[in-house]
Amino acid sequence: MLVKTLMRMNITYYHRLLIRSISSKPAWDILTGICIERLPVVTPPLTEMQKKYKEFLLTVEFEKSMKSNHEIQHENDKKQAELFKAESQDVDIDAVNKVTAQDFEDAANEEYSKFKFGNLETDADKKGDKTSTERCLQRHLVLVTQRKLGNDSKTLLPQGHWQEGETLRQTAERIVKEQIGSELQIKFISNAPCGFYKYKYPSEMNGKVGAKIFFYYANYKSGNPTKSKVNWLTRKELDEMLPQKYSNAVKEFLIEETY
Amino acid sequence: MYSNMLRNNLKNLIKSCRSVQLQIIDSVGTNHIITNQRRFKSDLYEPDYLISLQPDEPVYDCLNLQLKGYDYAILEACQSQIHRYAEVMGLQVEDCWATPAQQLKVQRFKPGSTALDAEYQLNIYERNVQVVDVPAWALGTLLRVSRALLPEGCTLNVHEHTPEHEEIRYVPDNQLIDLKQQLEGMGGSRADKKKKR
Repeated sequence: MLVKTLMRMNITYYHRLLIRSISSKPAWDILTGICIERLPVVTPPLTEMQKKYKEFLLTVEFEKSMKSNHEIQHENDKKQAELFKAESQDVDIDAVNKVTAQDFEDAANEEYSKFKFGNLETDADKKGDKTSTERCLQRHLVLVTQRKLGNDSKTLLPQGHWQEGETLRQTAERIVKEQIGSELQIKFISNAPCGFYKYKYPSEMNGKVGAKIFFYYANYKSGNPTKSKVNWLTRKELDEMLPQKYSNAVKEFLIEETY
Repeated sequence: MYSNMLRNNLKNLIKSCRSVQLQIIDSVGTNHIITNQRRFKSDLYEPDYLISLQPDEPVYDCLNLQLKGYDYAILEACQSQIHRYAEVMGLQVEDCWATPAQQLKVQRFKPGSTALDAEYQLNIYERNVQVVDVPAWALGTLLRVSRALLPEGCTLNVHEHTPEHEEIRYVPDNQLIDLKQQLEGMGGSRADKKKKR
């Protein structure tokens, strides 16, 4: 019995070896895609939950903390004022004449109310201009180009082929220079890719069954793209414009927005 | 004949289990995270040193995440969140410390004159998180996450740990420095007397 099972194991093992040697491994095209992101310039508004939690933390901090110099001075001022009302002889005039804590607080509040905050809605927002980085100051913007795949042009993250003898990160830098221009200043954060997407071609091209795209993440510093027309899209727009499965793969490595 | 076949089968079975494991066990807080560097041999009879000679994954030795901000309550909350994220990622957080605040006096002058318009007293508080043995593929994620966690008014500065950063933490002993200066003023320390015989 034992011999029979061992024989069977042997046969399956050799069969597997044979199949492996006869059939050739499918070859895939290797591409790198780059996700260039402009981080939000202004902090986004808080959601309901965030507001409640923030208030809770503030009350906890208030209860746990000790009195600040400002509060101590305020109490002293009150005492001085009461003494001044009660017995008008035992009080130093110097101690009362100086700037009280309440005065300081009032002056500070007045200055705060007079201060004008910058406009959240920029010109680019009003025009609906998607090619500028000045739009949607509170959101993350991702760079996206048009690309012709087969017959139709799709909106994708910039991508290109990997060449022999260079690392994937070098491919990413080269693609940015070629497709978008060297004026655009970006900063990569690591040598390792952050995302992956693979798809099969409808028919075999150049002996390759499909393509595997490795995504690299970079932060936008400054500059304008010169070589091709690009759009800067928010998360919602990315969801709409990118092809479905591709968008799922891209969403895997992008940080979600809370509002 | 059969004994040969038996031997071959056993060899194939064992091949899938045989490996040289280098285990580094990290215990970080309450999470026990084991980072394995498993390398599998292609043949049972290959010597071990051939694959243990393969290079280890690149690892950053000691990184300081330095947080600076104007409000220490918010800054401390941010520091604790970054610490939590680093632990969840499996990185070893060696040390967390605070350095004394930098006190700034900001004066705003009226345009075209030296008359004082307003004066502000600001403190820049600092908190540090030290992370040790960060694998190169994890650093990118850690940086992105810590930047996303930053509240308004706070800046993050990541650098390698140098002895200067360690020196700043120590408070100089003023008495000792005074005594040393006095000694120098009196003519330097006395050379050791050799025993005269």
